[in-house]
Amino acid sequence: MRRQVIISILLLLLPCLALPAREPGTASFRFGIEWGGCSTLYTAMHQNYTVEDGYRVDENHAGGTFIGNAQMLANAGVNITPHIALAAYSGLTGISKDFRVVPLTLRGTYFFKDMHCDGMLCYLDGGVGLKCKNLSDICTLLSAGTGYHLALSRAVSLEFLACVRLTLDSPDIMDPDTGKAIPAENIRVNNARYGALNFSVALSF
Amino acid sequence: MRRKSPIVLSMIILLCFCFRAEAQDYSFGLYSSLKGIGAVFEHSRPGNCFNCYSAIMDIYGMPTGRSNMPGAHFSFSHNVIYRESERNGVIYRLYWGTGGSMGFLHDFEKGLFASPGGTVLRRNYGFMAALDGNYGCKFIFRDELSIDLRFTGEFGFHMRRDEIHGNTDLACYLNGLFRAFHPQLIISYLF
Repeated sequence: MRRQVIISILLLLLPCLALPAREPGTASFRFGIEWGGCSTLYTAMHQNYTVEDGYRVDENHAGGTFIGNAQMLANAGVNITPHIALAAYSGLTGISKDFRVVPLTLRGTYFFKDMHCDGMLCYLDGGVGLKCKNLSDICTLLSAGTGYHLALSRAVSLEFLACVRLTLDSPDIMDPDTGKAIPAENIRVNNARYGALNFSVALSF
Repeated sequence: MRRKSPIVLSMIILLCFCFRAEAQDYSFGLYSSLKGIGAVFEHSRPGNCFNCYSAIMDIYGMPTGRSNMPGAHFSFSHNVIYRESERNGVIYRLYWGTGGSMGFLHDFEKGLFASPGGTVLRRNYGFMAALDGNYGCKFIFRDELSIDLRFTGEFGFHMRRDEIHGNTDLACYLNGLFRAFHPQLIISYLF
């Protein structure tokens, strides 16, 4: 009886030999391209400044809008674990009317299933945008998104992404009478916010 | 016998018209490029060929703020697969093809970004007709999804109204030549 139990246990353990040993967590590089459309749906602006004539102007408005733009990004990063990837993104993206930036952001992506399998993902993205009109002028970009990941092969994957993006900016203020920029010491409040919904397609290698 | 004779006659007539039936591959996909975005339909033809039909929204000038309205671009091409290989479960197909295109869109104007009082597109939209040449590579994954990387050159004419002089201009379609090096990415689902 005892011999039969031992033989049965050994037979049940045999399939374990066929299971591959778990590979130690080794990071691998990833790079890719992403492109898609950005639709700005919310804008808010609050500016409080003194003009050259001495009177103070206070402008405060917020509301819904629709401004269509697009974005084209490239990224390079690391697959830290089979579920987590970290990558730096840059390219060209539109924020609002005649407002385009070169984003420099860092994105952390979480794959609910292994990144080598099809499944959902989510990500957080944050960084700065260099304004195309003056690259030394920056704004803040924050995004949170989700998507579906298709592992086409061991090396190539296709992702369909959707995200909400918030842009924080302090734009230059022009004196309406002289047309010159208001000096910083005459500006009390200068905030602009843009909320956008982005849809994009990404190829990762 | 009289009741059966129409049936027999119909069968004889149908046998005279033997239609050639073949299983055909179809695919429907999304077209993405600096030239525009749109939809593409492809179906296979005998002899390692396939036809491609595309309807694209031409976005010349829009990414750089010089225009805010897209144009329309339609094209057809007949493509020949001249090399096919498989590696790690991915099928690679190299192909070339020719065809034609037509549309209602902007042609090339000097300048890149719009600036105040500067380089917005001044000329009108116009009618375009051209002959195309394609070259590309198709990557087929899991027998159901393909990604095409394609380059297309177009040689034709662009006819537009000149508002200043009140006449109609006929010119070579320059964007068809200048944008021939713009890569086109087509992501398709195979039926």
